Amino acid sequence: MITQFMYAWLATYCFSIIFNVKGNKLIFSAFGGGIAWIFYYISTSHYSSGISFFIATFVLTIYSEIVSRYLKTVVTSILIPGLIPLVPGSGIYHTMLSIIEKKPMEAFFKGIDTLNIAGAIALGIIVISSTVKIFKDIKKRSN
Amino acid sequence: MNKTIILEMATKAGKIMLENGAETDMVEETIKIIGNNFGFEINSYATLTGIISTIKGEDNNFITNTLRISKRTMDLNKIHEIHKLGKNIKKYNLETIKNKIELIENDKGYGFKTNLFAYAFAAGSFTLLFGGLPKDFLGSSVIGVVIYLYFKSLSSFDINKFFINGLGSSIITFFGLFMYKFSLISSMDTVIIGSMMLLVPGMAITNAVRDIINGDLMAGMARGLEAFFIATSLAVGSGFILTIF
Repeated sequence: MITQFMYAWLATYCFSIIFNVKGNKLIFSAFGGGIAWIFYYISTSHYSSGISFFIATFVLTIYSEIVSRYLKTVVTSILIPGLIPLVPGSGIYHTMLSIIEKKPMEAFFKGIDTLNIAGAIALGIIVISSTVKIFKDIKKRSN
Repeated sequence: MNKTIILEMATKAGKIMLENGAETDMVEETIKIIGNNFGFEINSYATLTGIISTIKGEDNNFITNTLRISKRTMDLNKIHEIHKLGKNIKKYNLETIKNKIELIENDKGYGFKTNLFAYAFAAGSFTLLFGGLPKDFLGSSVIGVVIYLYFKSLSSFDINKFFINGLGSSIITFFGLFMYKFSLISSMDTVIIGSMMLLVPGMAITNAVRDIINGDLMAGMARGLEAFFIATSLAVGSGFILTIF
């Protein structure tokens, strides 16, 4: 599992460079990616793939909200690179490949799977960011 | 205060954000913050392909600025810097803000070598993550370098995204196939998919779903459609090579 974390960490670090993340945000975003991947990896042995992606993204978004405040940056600076190990890149590719190879059933199932994953990830982000927004609004009103 | 200058400056900041991957509501909010700083109300409508902003002057006259967004990449530092500028805007005067925006726009990012290694090891580490062996890591790292050089050489031309991605996918598949045939790698799949991660619009699909859940259906549909077409061109590019060889 340590190796899994390391690979995910490295992948996220490299993508952060590709996305021109600068300074100490690099290391923190890389950790985000590693943590997200580990939570996904552990969850898959207990839950379905949708739930696993949700949990991983849920944790990653909490991590990103906290770290981005500490580093005084936008949440997406940490969140977007952290999502890289999770996003269903191969899923999309395989879906399209199945269509081209004229295997419509396979394509359909892979496609639904891919959308499911994307939705679970989006939901994981939305839940936390909406909660944060509510807290911010409450704080603003009480001032 | 000349509201034309303020509007131009604010929309330029918004354009920089949008061109580099920011969400539309962050763009609209930043433009508003810049306008408010100088006592003007600016309302904007931002989409992935353009911004329309209108500033309201003291004389109750409106001026509108329309900008088109023709290229979009992902540069998180530029988004961060514009956002930081917006947060600290009270500290600076007009000239300073203008100069800062100019500086942010012209920032070149990381150098050639750094990016080269980043592309190489991004592909390599994904291959490892998908269960590849060390020789597969090397294989996809090499492909990562090829892809970076490929992107760099085409960046000065205005070629459409789908062609670039499709051809890139062909290149990756070709090299993967080649390496496998010559036993340089053990698993063609992990090498190709690992390298493909440099091209796949996984981010776009996730952002698309996020936009839709957030209520910005236009942006969501636009991103989703783009992701769909890019994925298709990747599959076509790859399928083409696999069919010939």
